[in-house]
Amino acid sequence: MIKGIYTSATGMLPNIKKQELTAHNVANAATPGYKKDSLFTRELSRAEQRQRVTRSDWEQPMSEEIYTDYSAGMFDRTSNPLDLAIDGDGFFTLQLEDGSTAITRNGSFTVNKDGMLAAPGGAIVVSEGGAIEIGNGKVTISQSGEVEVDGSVMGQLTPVTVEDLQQLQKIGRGMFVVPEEVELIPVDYAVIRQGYIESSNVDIVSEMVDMIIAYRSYEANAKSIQSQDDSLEKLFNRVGSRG
Amino acid sequence: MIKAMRTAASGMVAQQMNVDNIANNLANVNTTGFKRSKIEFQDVLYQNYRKAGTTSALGSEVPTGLAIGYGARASATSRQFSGGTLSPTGNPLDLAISGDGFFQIQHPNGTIAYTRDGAFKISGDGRIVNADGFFLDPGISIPQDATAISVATDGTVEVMVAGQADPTTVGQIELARFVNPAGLEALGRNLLIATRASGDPLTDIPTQSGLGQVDQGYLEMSNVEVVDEMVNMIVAQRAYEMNSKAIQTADDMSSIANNLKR
Repeated sequence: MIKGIYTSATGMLPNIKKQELTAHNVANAATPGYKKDSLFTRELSRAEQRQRVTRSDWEQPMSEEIYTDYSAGMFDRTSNPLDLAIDGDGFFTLQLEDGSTAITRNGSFTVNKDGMLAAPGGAIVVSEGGAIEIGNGKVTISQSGEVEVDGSVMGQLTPVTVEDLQQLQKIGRGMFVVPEEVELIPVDYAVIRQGYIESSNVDIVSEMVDMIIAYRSYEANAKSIQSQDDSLEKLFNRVGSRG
Repeated sequence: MIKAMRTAASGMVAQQMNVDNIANNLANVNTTGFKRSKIEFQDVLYQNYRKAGTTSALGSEVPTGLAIGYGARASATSRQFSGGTLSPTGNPLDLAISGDGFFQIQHPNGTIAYTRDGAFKISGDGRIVNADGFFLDPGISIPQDATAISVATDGTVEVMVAGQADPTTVGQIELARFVNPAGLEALGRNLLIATRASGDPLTDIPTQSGLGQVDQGYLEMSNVEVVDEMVNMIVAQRAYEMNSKAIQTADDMSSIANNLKR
């Protein structure tokens, strides 16, 4: 009986995380280049449960995993020459302030104080030949990613990707970091659109549905705890009473 | 539970700023040379419950981590410099730019400000000024006895003086251009100033260096599209509503947990 209460309680817990994720997705429904997260729970096999190192009543019979949906968002036209969107797979490569590499689908770029193409937070956009100098010329970026400033080629933007997108880690500001052992590979097909931004791929309807499901699942598990509690109450107070 | 509420609240704050910005665009639907702006959002920090690549209780490597974000925030407002429609006024000192350039205005604080608003006037001492009386840069003076003013597409200002058959050149308008005009900072009064993000201005005479030509007798209208703004407002309002629903749901879930024990 008591074990059942623990089981129901552990059924409630992932729904809290689901609700947190949904809140995060909804908050980012208008964030360019944002990719929605969803939480999946998986039942652990008997073997896995037996192998658990620690033993406590609070053992979760399931494992939680986050899946990020990398499908493309819609393209918003901005007409700004430094707004870029990738039509197809792949990410822009950025060099962060501390020298490490991150990738992003948010191509809303600007020019930093040294005249280099950069993301708004200060990370530099890198191409095959390093940073791209823009200065104050007129920028044209071809569909193949060739960056021309006042008619002369200053760099080549090549969208990159990784074998398994689920290995990427979000770090905020629309950026993803690539684990050390994972290699960046050029994409097969991608067209760069100048003057467009990729909007968030959050779909409000499915977020609302996810929210309802998480809420009801939470509620159902709570009801299950309450009815077990009722049964216990009867067991303790009525069985054997002489009333 | 509290976390989902704060996350959704950050989304509400961001959408509220979005509506503030849309209201400003709509308020300026008839402002000469006004360029609509757009708020950009970013996702914020993630809390790592479990990092990818760490070892699970079973000794196997966790393939994907468990990281939940803390919501969104407004990161930037970017101006959209698409051209507004040109409206004929017939006034010789109403100038519009067809191209990427900006007029240069001497701000009273000594810096140079930039504007697309070409509704110029003549000050008491004959100098060309904007509606607030700030001087055009480089400064141009119109003689008291001028009978007509003509501005060529390349910015040459000529006047006809009573009693003379040929026009006299009194000055040359210069325009400025920026690599990233979205990075300009708005001062109000239709004026913008250069920032680190906009880059340094490139100045030249109109029709050169991709600056565009000057059209006399026209004013550039605001580029705010009322229909677009209305759609954006509906989207922002709904997004605000969805975030509030996320807060309510989180609150209801807290209430259920609270009522487990009767």
